[in-house]
Amino acid sequence: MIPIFICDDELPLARQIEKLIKNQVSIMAYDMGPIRICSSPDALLGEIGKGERAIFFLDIDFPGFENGFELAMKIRKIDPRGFIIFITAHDDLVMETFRYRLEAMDYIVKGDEQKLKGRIQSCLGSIEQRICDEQKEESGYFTLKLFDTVRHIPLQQILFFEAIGPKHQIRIHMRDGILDFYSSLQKLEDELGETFWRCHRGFLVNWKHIRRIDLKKNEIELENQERCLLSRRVKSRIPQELKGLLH
Amino acid sequence: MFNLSFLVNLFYISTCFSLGHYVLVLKVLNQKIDKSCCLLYCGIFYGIQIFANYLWYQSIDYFGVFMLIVWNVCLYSLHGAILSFLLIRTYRTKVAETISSVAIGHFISFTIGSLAEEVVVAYFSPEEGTFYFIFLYSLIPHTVILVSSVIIALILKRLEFQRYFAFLFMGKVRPVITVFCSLFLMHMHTIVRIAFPVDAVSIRTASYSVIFIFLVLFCLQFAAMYTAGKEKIKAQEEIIRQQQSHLALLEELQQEMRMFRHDFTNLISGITIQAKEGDLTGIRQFMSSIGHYFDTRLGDEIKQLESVSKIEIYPLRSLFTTKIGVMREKKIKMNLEIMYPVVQVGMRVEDLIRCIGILLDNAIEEAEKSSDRYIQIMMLQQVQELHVVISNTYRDKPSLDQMKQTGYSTKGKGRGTGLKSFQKLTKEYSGCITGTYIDEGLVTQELRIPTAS
Repeated sequence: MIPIFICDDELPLARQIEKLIKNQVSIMAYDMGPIRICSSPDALLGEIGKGERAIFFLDIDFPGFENGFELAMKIRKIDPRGFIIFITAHDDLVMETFRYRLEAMDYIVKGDEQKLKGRIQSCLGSIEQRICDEQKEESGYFTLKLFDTVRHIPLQQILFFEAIGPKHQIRIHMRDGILDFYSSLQKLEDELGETFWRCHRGFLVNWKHIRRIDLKKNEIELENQERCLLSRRVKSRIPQELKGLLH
Repeated sequence: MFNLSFLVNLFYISTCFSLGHYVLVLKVLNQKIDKSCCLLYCGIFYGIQIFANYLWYQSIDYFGVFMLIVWNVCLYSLHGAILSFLLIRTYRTKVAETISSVAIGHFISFTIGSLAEEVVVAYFSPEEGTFYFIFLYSLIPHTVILVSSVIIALILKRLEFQRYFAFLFMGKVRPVITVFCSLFLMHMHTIVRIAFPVDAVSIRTASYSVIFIFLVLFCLQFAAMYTAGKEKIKAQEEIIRQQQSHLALLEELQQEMRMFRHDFTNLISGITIQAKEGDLTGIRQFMSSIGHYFDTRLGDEIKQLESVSKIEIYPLRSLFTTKIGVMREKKIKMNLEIMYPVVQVGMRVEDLIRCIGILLDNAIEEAEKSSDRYIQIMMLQQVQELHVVISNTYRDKPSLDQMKQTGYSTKGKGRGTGLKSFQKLTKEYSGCITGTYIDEGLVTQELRIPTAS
């Protein structure tokens, strides 16, 4: 069961959302609940259990208090992987900022009940989907601290790490992106464990994504045709699981 | 002649000279020392020296003074050419800059060497062939070369000499002149010394060369500062231009406001009639449409302007107004989100402008070709960082791997220096985090710059 929190100072609206969520959860038999309503950010922060993952519907602006952005930042500190959905009166809010900084899922616009219902349905649907996917993968996340935020990258997404430049600069090659940050491959190797294989001084590769190993060119080809180097030292001790990929 | 002690001595001399030369050149170019490149140069230098010495002693009897000049010029040029080649290959530095810095580095090392040698000669006169003689005549001067080259290199780095040096290579004429001057300097000693032989070597002649070095360095610095000043004026003109475009944007908004006011009076008079007639459903419809109308008609512009005015780094604000103007001209829809005032960043403002300018230019260029023509920009100032995210639509899905490879551009070969210099710039500031993502029809560039450098 994953708890749901609604935080809005307008009680009627909160009740309306609660009703819509309740209906949707019982119709689709989602594994979600109980639903709790908090009228102020402080009340919400008091109620969240540490380490427990939850779904949050947050009002964007509270009169006389910090905005939803700051509230969400605090929530992220307690529950780094919860699902955050914003409730707003107007659709000109800074959604991109929320998406990038808080990994916020979506927003719903107050007002028209039919639209509200549709949006809530789609939100809950995609949360359910995401939870399902994660259970299937079981592979976990790579947590990356970037300044004062933490980013969770599913290990599934990561193809390999590459050391670039002399100043401990590391590049993550993901399925749909590249990220350069500072760390050391040794540290990453210790942290990530068995899924990743140090095939070269400058490469740490996710062996689940290896397509073939080319012994002639000393290269490893990945699913998306990217290549990493294979060092001569490692060549003699290729793990058993990868023997089938040799060429 | 070619016994072990000679080879060892030659090895020491070559190593000192080549190492000193290498370090000096690298710091003039402001690059990190690369071990393998350094070793390779020292090795090649030693090899050439052995070979050259052998040849020289074989044919010393036939050579006159003139041949000596030619011989030395060729030898030094060969060393210079080899080092330049190695550097260009390893660091991908510009050809003219590399050649000049190699020549100047050689000039400095050589002058120091001859100064040290002459000081030694002036004060001591040991017998030729003894160990003492070798010690004084080759070991000391060359150790001095190495030590002072390293010291000078460090000083130049401290003074950020490279920034001034780079100004000597702007445009087309300047690099040519600089290269010629530096090559002349490189061979000046050889030519002067042999053309006007000084029998009684004195410290005085040597001190002239040292003074000369300082003069040359001073002149270089001065020339560079002068050109830098000129560049500054140009930059200021650019800022004025950008401010003007900011004004134009404001004027445009004013126009919109005027038109809106006109519309608004019409709308209100319409609804007044409806109210008089008691048409409640009509009024309701009007009310629901008016909010939307307001948002689309003025909301976007006001929001953008509000966001832009939150940028408190003025050159950056100008950059944004200029680029927003360009986007309007090219009919690219744009959404700019800046929640908190952008006030500080741990990067020189010129470099910040260049970085973000490159990202914006690339986004505009790509979005322009796409059918949706949309750019999404987010900037968020936090205590520890400035977070910038720029996304745009694209026509042909770019390849991630290629984009990060230096020099990638969809514009074809020889272009795409934008992303290349972006990467170079962000690498200069350690702590910068960059990312590139492709999803949902948008390609996204992310840049996170620490607030403290």
